[in-house]
Amino acid sequence: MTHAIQAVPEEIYDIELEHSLLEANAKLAKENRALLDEHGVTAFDFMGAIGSGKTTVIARLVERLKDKFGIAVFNGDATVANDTEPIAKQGIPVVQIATVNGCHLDANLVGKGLKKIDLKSLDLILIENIGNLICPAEFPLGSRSRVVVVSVTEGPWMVKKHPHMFLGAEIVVINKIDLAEAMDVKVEQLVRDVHTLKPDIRVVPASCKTGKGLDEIARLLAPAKSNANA
Amino acid sequence: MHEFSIATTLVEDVLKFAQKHGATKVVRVRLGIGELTCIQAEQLKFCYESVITETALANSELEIETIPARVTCSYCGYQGAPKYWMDSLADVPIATFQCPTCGKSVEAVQGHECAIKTIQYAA
Repeated sequence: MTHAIQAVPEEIYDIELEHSLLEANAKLAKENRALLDEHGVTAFDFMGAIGSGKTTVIARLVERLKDKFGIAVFNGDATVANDTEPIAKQGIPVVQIATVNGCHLDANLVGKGLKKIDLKSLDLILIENIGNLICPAEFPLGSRSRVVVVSVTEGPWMVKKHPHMFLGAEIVVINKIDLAEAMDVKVEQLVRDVHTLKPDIRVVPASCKTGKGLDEIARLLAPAKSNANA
Repeated sequence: MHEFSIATTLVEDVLKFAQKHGATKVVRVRLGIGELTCIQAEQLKFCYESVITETALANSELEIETIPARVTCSYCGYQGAPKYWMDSLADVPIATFQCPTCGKSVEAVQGHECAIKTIQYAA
């Protein structure tokens, strides 16, 4: 990695490098992806603010997908939380990942989780990242796509405030649209904001209360081999 | 606060290089950070300063250079600076992945870096 060592007066030396600080995580993410590919498993990384509804969206998606696919959920939290009950009681494997107050999941933690479950029985893994719209952006986990969950209760400026998270995502769920009117938030404006950042991103307005949009998200996540039935 | 974990990795890696080269004291570290990352330079410097005390990096200076974003469009072949969102809430325009010429989605080829460029040390 060292290209040149250049001596200068006063015996100060330079080491010229191109040493990436994100490389260690990126390498582990690639290893996770290779392991998943080898077993024909597709993983999605769900990101979003605290309270955006990531856990509930995942629980509703599991309801729609668990009969057709082998599915597992990885739940990242700063501490071990018990909010995965609605998911675990659906009889699918759930892996709790506590970051011990770290602000994002990383590929190393997810890799450890992958060793805990029987990948041969799975088609799909939904990974819930830590509730944070900034920190997870720099740390890929090995998933095929990243899904951002924002809700209208976070106000009208979420996309403009956190552009980086959207640039790295392939799917955006605009959640809690049943509350849009009460919140005086225009869902169409949020959709336009996302498309201003990245025109080809899939945006799905949804509500876990009315069920709107959830079938469409489930279809987007369904592994290709069974798409026709999903 | 991912800057803290990045600062920790940075200091650990600089110490390894310094040791390998027989450095007794690191004077300056130059870091390149891509425009498309959300690594905040001021916060990273603050974290760096709190991590380096009582190491060979104590009192060293962290210099941060921003690496501009570059994108490429697979639809129209555009290559260059991204289109900026002037209407965003930020003080500075926000880089988007919308092609400045055809309006479709582009891919970033530069701007996601976070790398040590130079370590200056006294032997």
